[in-house]
Amino acid sequence: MSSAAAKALGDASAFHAIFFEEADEHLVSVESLLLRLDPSAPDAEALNGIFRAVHSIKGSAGMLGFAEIVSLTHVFENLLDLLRKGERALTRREVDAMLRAGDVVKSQIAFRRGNLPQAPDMSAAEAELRELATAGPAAAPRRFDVRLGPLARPIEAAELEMMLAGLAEMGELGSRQIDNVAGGEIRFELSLAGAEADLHSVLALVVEPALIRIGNEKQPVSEKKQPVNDDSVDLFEAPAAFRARRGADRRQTPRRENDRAAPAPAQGEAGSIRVSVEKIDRLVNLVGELVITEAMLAQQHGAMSDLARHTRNLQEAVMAIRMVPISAVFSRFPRLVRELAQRLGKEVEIRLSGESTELDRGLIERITDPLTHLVRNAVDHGMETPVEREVAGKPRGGEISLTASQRGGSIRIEVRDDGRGLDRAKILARAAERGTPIAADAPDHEVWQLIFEPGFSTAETVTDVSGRGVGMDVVRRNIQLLGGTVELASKPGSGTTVSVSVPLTLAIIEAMTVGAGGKTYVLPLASVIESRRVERGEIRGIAGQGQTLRVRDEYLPVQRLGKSDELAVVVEADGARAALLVDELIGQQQVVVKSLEANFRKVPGIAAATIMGDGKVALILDIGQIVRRAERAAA
Amino acid sequence: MSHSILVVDDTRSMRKMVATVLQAAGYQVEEAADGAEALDKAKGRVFDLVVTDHNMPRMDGVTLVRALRGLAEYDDVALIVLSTETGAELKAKGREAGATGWMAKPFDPEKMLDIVKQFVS
Repeated sequence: MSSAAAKALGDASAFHAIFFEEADEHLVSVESLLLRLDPSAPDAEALNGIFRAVHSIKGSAGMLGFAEIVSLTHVFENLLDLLRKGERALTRREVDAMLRAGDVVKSQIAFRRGNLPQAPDMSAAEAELRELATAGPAAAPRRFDVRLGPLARPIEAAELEMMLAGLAEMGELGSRQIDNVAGGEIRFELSLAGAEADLHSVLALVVEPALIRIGNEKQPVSEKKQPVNDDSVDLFEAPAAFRARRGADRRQTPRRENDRAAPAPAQGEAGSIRVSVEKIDRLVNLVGELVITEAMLAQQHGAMSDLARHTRNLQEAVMAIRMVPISAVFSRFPRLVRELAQRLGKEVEIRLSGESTELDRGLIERITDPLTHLVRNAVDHGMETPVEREVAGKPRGGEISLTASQRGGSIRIEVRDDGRGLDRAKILARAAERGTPIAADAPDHEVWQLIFEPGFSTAETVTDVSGRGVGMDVVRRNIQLLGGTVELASKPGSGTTVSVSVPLTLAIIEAMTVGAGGKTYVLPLASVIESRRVERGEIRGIAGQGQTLRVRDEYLPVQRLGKSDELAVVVEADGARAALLVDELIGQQQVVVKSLEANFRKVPGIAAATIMGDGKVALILDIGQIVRRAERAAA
Repeated sequence: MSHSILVVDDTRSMRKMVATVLQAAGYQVEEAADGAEALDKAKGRVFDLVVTDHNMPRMDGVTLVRALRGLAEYDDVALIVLSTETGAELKAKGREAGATGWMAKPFDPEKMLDIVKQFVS
């Protein structure tokens, strides 16, 4: 058996992955609880939640031998314990220190996982926690009931006087009963704003620590000190006695029914299981195959509505597994906003709503950066300083709200601030400076479009937060890469709203299929503007611009996919348009996206591939690259 | 037939560690993530031993012990609390509730197996 135990122990690394994942989850919840804590009225349940999470991390880290995590979480726990008992007042400083402590644990875990080249230095965060846990700001005064004794011998009068004077300086001395003789006891009340530990250390100057007993209103002095059992195992019943009793019990008749307590456990929580992403991806792939097979069958056998319906339902159900709530992204913003606002001397509250809206896991990662950019912008550029706001007759503190909602097959995320709004005059001036053509009386929405131009920035000062000229154009391009759109609305003096729409998933796209040169090509529907017949002579070479097609007063560069010049599909990406000449328009359908890179290699101009109902592979065009190529050819 | 043990802990890694140690020694292990779930499982079948954490959401370990002792079929089943908390007061509460023993976390696998063996054989 001992070899079995050693084996189980020796394989501790098998638990590392579980521990890392679990610790990360705990740290995320610690952070969000900390950010929601109101220092003026800390929520006891939240403090308990944080305590429990830190406690869990400490316990498992101890089993796995992660000493530095144990050491830090231990001090962390001490501070939390003081806070939840009210022995320490909670201020910004504690919250910040705990946030930093969470961060270093996170980094330590990243390091242990091999995601960080260097172990983070945890000592500063730990020292800070320790300092707060021993000498934090005072809580409201509490009444202590102090007993010293039984005294081995009387305390010298001068010493006793000094001690009492010292205590009177720390707090307010109440009734006292001094029995300063051998075997006697000194007892007094003290209203103290400081910590019990400080009181203890003062008393210990005069009296032996073992004789000091301090109680407060909540915890009266216990008459007898319980011996602390340091043994790791404490059996309340000897095994032999236990076995004997059990043997006897078994011979007796069963107990009466009414001896039973019947506690009803709280139930009804939505159950959940953990499933690895790989497994889900495999499932998604298989369902994709099934969708294709179904399409093939439908082509050969005509109506197969039931199979089609079931397949579609199955596909939706499987896709739903990959969906995660957008709170995964949103949760990082309260902290970001708080830190940014602090740095910029602004007062900003953030409000989140629709956090449970779900979208594909793969999208979550890719939408985080653009959203972060928008939120930074809102704090840095959108929001005024408290003084500016007061002058404008607005409350000193501004508000940024993030809202997510589902609209059909897409998710809409709004980043709204109640700041100064876009400055129309400044944008027009900057446009004139850059030589961007725009009429002085152009409607607002056209003016706002200018800020999406590459390199367009009106920020007067380049702060280290944003305003480096890589701005809204990058945001828009990244969102468009996901098949999404960005809209902006702004009103001077009352704020700006940026709305981002992205499809719920990247695994399936709505597409237009076209034929050209005997091949089928797939165009993501999100980038298709229109399709039209081309009249003879409409495609013209313009000097220095290559071939162009005039569409609604705009000369678009032309890109030929096939041989015929009769049909054009106008596509748009990154704010630029091009006309693709195709032989035929086949239709509109959902296609399952298959990575070309993973199955073949990266091909310029091609985003991915799909399998059509006839079993043939069709290429999904990368409209962004094609538009750029057409522009280059034209230039 | 191998003995069955119910392992209760809200911390998944800890639960898995305890379970693995016991499984490696040939015990059949069932897991529960908190006291309430454990009580539910315990009502469905009688385990030969229960190892439970104390500090858990929904229902803590000492409350679980008390609830289990309320069930006739758990009258003579050893209930071991496994907790980082080892304060005498809490231990006394556990004992009063009917716990058979109290083990400190982090635990020594050998020691745990030794204790378990004594109570299930």
